[in-house]
Amino acid sequence: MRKDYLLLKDISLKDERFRISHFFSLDKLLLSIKKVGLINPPMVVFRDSQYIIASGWKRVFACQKLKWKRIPVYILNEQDDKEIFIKILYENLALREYTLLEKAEILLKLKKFRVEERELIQTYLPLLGIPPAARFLEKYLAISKVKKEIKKIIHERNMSFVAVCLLLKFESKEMLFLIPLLKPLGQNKQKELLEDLYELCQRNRISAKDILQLKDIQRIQKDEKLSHIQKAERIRLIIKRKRYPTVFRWADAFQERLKKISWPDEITIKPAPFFESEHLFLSFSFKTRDEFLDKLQKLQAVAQKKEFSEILTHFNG
Amino acid sequence: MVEKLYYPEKIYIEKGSLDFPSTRNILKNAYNVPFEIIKNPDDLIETLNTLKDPILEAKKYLLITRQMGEFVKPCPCTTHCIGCNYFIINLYLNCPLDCSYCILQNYLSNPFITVHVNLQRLWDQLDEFIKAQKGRTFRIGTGELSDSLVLDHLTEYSKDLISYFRMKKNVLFEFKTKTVNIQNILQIEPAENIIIAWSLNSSKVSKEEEPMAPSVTERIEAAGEVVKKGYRVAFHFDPIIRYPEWEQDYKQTICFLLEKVNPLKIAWISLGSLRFPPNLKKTIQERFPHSKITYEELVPGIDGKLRYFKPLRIELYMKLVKSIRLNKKAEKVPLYFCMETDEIWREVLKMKPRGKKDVENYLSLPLVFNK
Repeated sequence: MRKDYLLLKDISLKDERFRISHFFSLDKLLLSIKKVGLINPPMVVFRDSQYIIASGWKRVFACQKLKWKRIPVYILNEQDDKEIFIKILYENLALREYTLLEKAEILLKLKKFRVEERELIQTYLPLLGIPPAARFLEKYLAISKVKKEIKKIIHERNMSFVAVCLLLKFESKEMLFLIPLLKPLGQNKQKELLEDLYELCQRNRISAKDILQLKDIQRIQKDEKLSHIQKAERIRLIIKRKRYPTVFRWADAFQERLKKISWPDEITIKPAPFFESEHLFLSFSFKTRDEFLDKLQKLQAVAQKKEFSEILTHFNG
Repeated sequence: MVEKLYYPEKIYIEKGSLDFPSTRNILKNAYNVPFEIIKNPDDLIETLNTLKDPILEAKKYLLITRQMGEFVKPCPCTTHCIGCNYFIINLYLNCPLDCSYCILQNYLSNPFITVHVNLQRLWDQLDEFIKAQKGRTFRIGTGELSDSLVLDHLTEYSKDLISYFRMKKNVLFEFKTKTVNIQNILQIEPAENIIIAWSLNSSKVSKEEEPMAPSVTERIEAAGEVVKKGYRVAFHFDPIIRYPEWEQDYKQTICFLLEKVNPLKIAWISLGSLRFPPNLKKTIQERFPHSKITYEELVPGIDGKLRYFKPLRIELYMKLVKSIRLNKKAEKVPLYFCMETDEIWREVLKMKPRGKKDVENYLSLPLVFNK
């Protein structure tokens, strides 16, 4: 390996055989290079009559943006691409955490460099912090193959591995339908939405596209008064209701009965989660003795009503 | 009835387990199967993980080893539910049948079909255990962490177990199976306290979720044969699974059962709806992509396991109980729930067991006193 200077135009950006990062922000790096220069030069190799980047894509792009003509580089003499890639992989490993997409790309590249599947599972998965099992390798390789626009969302929304695996269960076209819905949601809600939608599709034997084109969902999609997050939240709830129709029917009926007996707003009554236990839970707040007695009186009044007993018998089996 | 018997591709014998009569017997019965003596199965488990479906792969191998701990344990049941004071004997671990809903997929750390061969330790522990239970009649079985009979053509343990338990009058011993591997059982004299039990389901569930097991019809016919021999039988509708035609299909199984098996010979019937720890859902979806069982309305129960929403469970149980009780002769067959709350007992069976002791008495005393 030797240090040299190359003209930026002499470094090919087309050959991506060593590239693992596609989504990144240059802001901080630009700031740093402007302030202190390029302290750590990128590494390049000479292949097919041109220099290609082995490591340091971000740095090269940053220098390009700063309109540098020449940059310092380390030129690697190593001829074996696989060996170079592995060296860089280990080098970076000590410096930073790889993202989900980078891990997927690394595994795909190693596979392309003909690293055996067994070695990928037993050596490289644990190295990347992934459990050494074939099913994980399979999933990461699938992630590496999704379309660029979907990868972009995965990166931007910092989607979890579980949510990405759920997303992969849908067809590419369906993924594109789903992306705008997932974008405003947090990790847990993304997972929940994808899980409910997938299971609903499986149970009812219909496509996600068909579900997302249902009238009530379309109405929300077209409502210009709603923000992206409001739309996503409402659609998430509609899908959940369709996934668990009986549960929601019961929850609605419970609320309906409360309304019928004019249950006091300031006192909360809740069934056990999913009505599994026979208990109902009551909560209210008070500051003074009078306020406390007032709540008790209100409770006594609703307890007298016939419909209150019906709530107890109906929802407790 | 043609039984497709399980033969492993290879037998691994843990070094210290070679010199046992049971090991020799298994090797004799599986004379075509290659075997290897190993120090520790952990290395094999690591290799399995590099394969796409390690759970399925591990079923190709039989591991012969020793039980170093307790053979007999109380059935763990689940929290907040009414137990039945059942005891389990862990002679086998894992099962080659590979049913989609099987909890063993995520339950055991050793994925191999495992046989414990140090039977003398079992008899010693059982002697002590039974002595300690003086004054009560209790139920015990081998079908919790495996199928009781799926390996019986290799181990012939049914003969040993029946011989041992026929003398223990305060114990009801149960074989629980989905197989029709009853040849050894038919060869020996029955005993009042030996119960041969089958897990049953609707034909559709059996075909789709238990494809490696004999059909429901074959299981019921096998039950008819052991009844003819003089044994008492039991049945477990577990897991009961919802799908559009469930009601009709379960009714059909029940009608066929009560037509082929004399209800007076049925010691008990248990009912349990589909339930599993949340992490099993992913395993089922990954390993059995054709299976739809995880897509019904399953919600977390009080014990954290996923199960059908309560009103749906009650509907399932009500309809099955009604189908059973429609048969006059089956009116008195004791029914019980596996892993259900007191509310379900009250709602469906109109019973209020105060705890597992009550259930133990309900299930075992009639068998003892009606002899």
